[in-house]
Amino acid sequence: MSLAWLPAASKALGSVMVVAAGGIAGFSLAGRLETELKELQRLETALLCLSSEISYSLTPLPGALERAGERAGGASGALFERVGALTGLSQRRNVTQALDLALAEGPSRSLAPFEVDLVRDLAKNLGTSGHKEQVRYIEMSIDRVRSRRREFEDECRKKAKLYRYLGLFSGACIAIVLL
Amino acid sequence: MQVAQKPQAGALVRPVKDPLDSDILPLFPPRLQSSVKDWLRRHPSEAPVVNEIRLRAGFPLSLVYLGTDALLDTTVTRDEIERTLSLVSDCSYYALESEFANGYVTIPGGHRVGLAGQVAVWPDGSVRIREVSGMSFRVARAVRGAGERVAGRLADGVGRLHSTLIISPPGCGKTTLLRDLCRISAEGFPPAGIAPSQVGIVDERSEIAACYLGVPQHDLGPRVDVLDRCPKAKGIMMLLRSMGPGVVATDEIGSQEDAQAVATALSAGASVLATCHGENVEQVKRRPYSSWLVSSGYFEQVVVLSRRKGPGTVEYAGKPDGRGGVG
Repeated sequence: MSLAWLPAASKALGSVMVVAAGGIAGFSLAGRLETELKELQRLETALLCLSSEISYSLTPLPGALERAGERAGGASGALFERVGALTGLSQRRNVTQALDLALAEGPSRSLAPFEVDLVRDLAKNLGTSGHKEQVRYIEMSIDRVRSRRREFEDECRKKAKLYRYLGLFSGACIAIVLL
Repeated sequence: MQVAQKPQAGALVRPVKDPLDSDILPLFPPRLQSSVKDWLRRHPSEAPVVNEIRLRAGFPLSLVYLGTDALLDTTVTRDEIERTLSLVSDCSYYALESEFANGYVTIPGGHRVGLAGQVAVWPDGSVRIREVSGMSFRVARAVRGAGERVAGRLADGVGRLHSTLIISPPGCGKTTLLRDLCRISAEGFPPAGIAPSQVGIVDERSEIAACYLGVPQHDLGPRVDVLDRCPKAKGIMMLLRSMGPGVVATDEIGSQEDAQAVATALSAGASVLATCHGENVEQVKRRPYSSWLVSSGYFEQVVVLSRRKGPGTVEYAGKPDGRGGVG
């Protein structure tokens, strides 16, 4: 039986694998951008929930943070939940102390520096004033998240497409060179 | 800190476990905590009778006991006040705005935290403490058994306590006695012939039951309903309509509405246990509304307390006209 077809088939298989690897790399980079965008949306949801808990039911901050985190989900939600669990009278910690501890524990490492900075800034003012002022502080944070999200959406749309095509084309180029 | 003070004759028996260590000191920043603990260690005889800790920004930490106070070497900073306040409010100032407007909050364990500082008056007349610069932690110590010595004298012979007014100057144990009489009514006290009753408490200042999130922090027995932070007159009427109490208890009666509500409760067949500021029965009889309740026979018994032999010293327990009493 002749095996003359084998080198050609190996080359074809190798080329497909190289193109696929390039594509995966491109899609993964694009996916990371989309995850970051989703995380911004989750952070916005968490902040909106927190604002509702404070303004409508005057829920004490530890419970309000936990509920907001549960509803938002993701890394932002996990951070809110953890800070809620670590803060307050029963834990003998204020919000900034609880946030430092929660950030050091690590589950929120997937958060972008922008999100961490925003939560840090907000934590300085959380629970220290009347409910109207609290809602105002949270709204300011929501505005920051929205404006960042708008910028990021444009960036994401352009870059995600670019990364996907770049991945596939660079894979194809390498395959051609190798052939 | 375990309290092992031998009680003075006639005074209230101190609780076995002191709440200062478990409830109050953990709220303080470490520097203040160690300063207080150090003082308590060096003054073992005064430690069980410390009834207040005062923090004032820029001034020494102060411990109040037996009508005097000790100024510690530690000067309290504004940052320490802010940190303590943050914990006291469960990091939720907004959830306690009305309490802050009244100038105090109650923390778990029933301890009252009084606040002082710069007050802002809003156009609607409400006030708010903007910059808290002083805090006073009043230690609530429930003294189980405080009312048993007078329960026999106050029993009405058919299983309940007579309607009783407890009179004393501040810090002599009126609320402590009232609290234990509520427990005695709710649990029953066979040695004095008191059967268990449904007890309703209107706790306007959260001092009797010391509710935290609506749950009494003191042991008041199994048949007690509490309206926490409710104005007395409104609360008494609400309890009468909704809970059908055999005994109604409230603290510090004084206004016309309070007196009318007490009279209504008595007409509805409930016994009323109440307290009133005063040195003695005569002084109470000189006040407009409390005198009406005492002179018209609404209160069948009065108990007068002092701190002559320590807080809770019973100076008199008997009828308001001075007959049949013990002193």
